[in-house]
Amino acid sequence: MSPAGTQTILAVVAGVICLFTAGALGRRRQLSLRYAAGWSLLGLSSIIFGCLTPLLDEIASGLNLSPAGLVVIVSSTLVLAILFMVSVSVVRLQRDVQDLVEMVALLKTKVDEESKS
Amino acid sequence: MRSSRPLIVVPAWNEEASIAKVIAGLVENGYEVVVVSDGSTDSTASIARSCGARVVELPVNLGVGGALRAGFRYAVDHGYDAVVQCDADGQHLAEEIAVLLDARTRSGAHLVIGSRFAKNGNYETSFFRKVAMNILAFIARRSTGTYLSDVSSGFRVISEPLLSEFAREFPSAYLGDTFEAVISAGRAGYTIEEIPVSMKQREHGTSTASTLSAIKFLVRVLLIVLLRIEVKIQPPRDENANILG
Repeated sequence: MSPAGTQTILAVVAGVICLFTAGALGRRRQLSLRYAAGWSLLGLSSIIFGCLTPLLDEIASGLNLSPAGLVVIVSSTLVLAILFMVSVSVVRLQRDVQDLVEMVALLKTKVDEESKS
Repeated sequence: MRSSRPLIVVPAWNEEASIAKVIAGLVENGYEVVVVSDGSTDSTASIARSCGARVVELPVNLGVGGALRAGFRYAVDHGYDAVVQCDADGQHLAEEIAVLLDARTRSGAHLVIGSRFAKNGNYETSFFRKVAMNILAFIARRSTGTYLSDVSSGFRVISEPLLSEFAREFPSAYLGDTFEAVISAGRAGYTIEEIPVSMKQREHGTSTASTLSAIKFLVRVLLIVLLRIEVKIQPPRDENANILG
């Protein structure tokens, strides 16, 4: 098989796995809609670029890039966007957990103090 | 009802070796003390309780900023109008609290910082840490318009209405509870004063004053300065304003 053929098959397989995993996790509510959408977009772009190699070549030459370079830039941009979303969510969750931990500790102290008095 | 007596807030994480002595010193001087055990896995909370302190036990470790905010919330809920923030490692002397409180009464400042470096300060630290502290002090001076030499000091008096603001929103990231809190308060228009205090070197536990940790401290300080990290707090209301007007 030619290198281009192997490349197409690997890109499509990776895209299908990504798409299938995002869909399955989304259905089971283990992945929220926005993250499922982000990973699905990544999978879809992998399939599209894998199948439509002439399109990839055309866009890459239009941007003065190699096809491989274009794939790396697009996929790493999407992964970075997802990572930023995850980072923002983690910070928000951290703040929520901190609030809850403080409230639980203060309520427990209040209950202890009132039961003693 | 508001209490005119201050509450001493002592954040503590696994400080069973020093907490008893710290609380004894505070109680002997007639202060009311709340220890915020920051997810301690040793006997810090039970020792503090047996020494006569009130204890807020955080179920997980939140860091100094989180522990302090819990202490501030406790103080506001119980009607205190000021807190004195004091370390659990024995560095802060109970006798110096009166000096901080006198300064607060005299100047009416919302935040009084006990400085290790202002004129009588006798605290020794490493070169890199000193450089980092000087950078922080320079930026804090520019941001607040007040002469400050030791913004990373954890020995402070915080009074209303700043106390309620800090109970609502208090920075908990690295250096947030010291540097960020000071510049946020200064920029919002709260009055800040610094006075010299004596401090001891810590008696137990691990000091963060080694050269490596001092370099890490300096790098973190530069990052914080470059990113201009700052929490937004509400400015003080005009205390002389007519409530009907």
